[in-house]
Amino acid sequence: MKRDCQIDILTFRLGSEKLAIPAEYLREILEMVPITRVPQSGSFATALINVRGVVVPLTDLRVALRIPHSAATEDTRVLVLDLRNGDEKTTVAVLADQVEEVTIMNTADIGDVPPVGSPWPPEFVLGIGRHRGAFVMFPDLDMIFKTYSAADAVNEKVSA
Amino acid sequence: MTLQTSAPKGFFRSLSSKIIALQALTFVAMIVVGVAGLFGMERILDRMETIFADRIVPVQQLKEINDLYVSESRIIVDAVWAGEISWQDASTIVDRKQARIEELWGAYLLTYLTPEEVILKDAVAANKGAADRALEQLATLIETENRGIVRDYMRESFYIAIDPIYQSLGDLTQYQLGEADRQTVAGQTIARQTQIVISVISLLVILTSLVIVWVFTNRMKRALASAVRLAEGVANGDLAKPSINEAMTKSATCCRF
Repeated sequence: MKRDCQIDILTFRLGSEKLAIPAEYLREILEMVPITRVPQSGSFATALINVRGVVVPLTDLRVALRIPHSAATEDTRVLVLDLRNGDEKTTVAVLADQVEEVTIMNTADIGDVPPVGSPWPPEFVLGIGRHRGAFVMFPDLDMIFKTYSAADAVNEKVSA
Repeated sequence: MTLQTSAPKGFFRSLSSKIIALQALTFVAMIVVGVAGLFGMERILDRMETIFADRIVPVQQLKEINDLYVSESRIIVDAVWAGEISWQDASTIVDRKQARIEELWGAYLLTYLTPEEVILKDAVAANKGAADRALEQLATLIETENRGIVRDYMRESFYIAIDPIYQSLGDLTQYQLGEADRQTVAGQTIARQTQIVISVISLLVILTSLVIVWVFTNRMKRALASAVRLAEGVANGDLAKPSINEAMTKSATCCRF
């Protein structure tokens, strides 16, 4: 994230934290939809949702980023994201306590996570920026989903 | 006394002529290297400008169009529900967003489109009508100021209408990024070729100059050694006429090299 260029980001809140993801990942913003709990699943991807006939895992970034859990409110939204890995596209849904805005940010304004004093696991954070007077955290979605997918696969093997 | 010399006739007779010729050769070679470098740099610059104007700018435009369809409308509705903006303002903002989409799409259509891109662009254009109608419908429903109707519309219909253009805009953006990558690689190839051409010409110039200097100095050294030998003969009392003539000829030859 060090190259100096502008990116479109979507900012949202998880608890008291302000997060940002590249807007290009975003496919839909939904209100809370009926969810189907998955038995014996971890706390990260606990449920499935139906997005117009497509079953999508619903995940909670709070678990990966160690953000305290809070109950759903009227402002809670489901962000349906398309994560691209080369030609491969994976659709996932993440919970957001409140969606704020789509805005432009300069990558030069995004810094590294401080090695000391950061409340979030540094391996899951791409960087921290400052926007409208507040810190904005950029979660490393690829790393988070890769790590938790691998963990799920191990759990499945253990269960089997 | 007649000087007899075996030195070449014409321009290359004198030492200064040869040095000037060597310098001129080096100078011309350096100009060739400079022109080749300049030509290569201009081609690379052209390539970079093309990538920026025909690929990077369109990617930004397409991404913004996508954001306007996918995210902004939803955020406007949320802002109305949260009381951050009025229903009238929301309707006006949706209208403004529609105008912005048209502006961006028009600007995108003015960029250079490859044949493959035209196919992808046509797919976007085919889906754009439904997406535009969805935005118009949203603006109309916002004007009713009825939260229930807007909520139902957003839940049940809005993204169904938006999804096709989201998909086709994604394909078009991916194509742009792939094309930008290909053109960047082509630009890097030109840069490498230019580097090779400049390096080869420079090496040839250096080698040629070294060979010429070596030939000149060798011939000068031979002539000087011969002149010294004859001078020593004269110093030792050998005043035979051929020796003197030869000494003068060698000196003259030496000066010419």
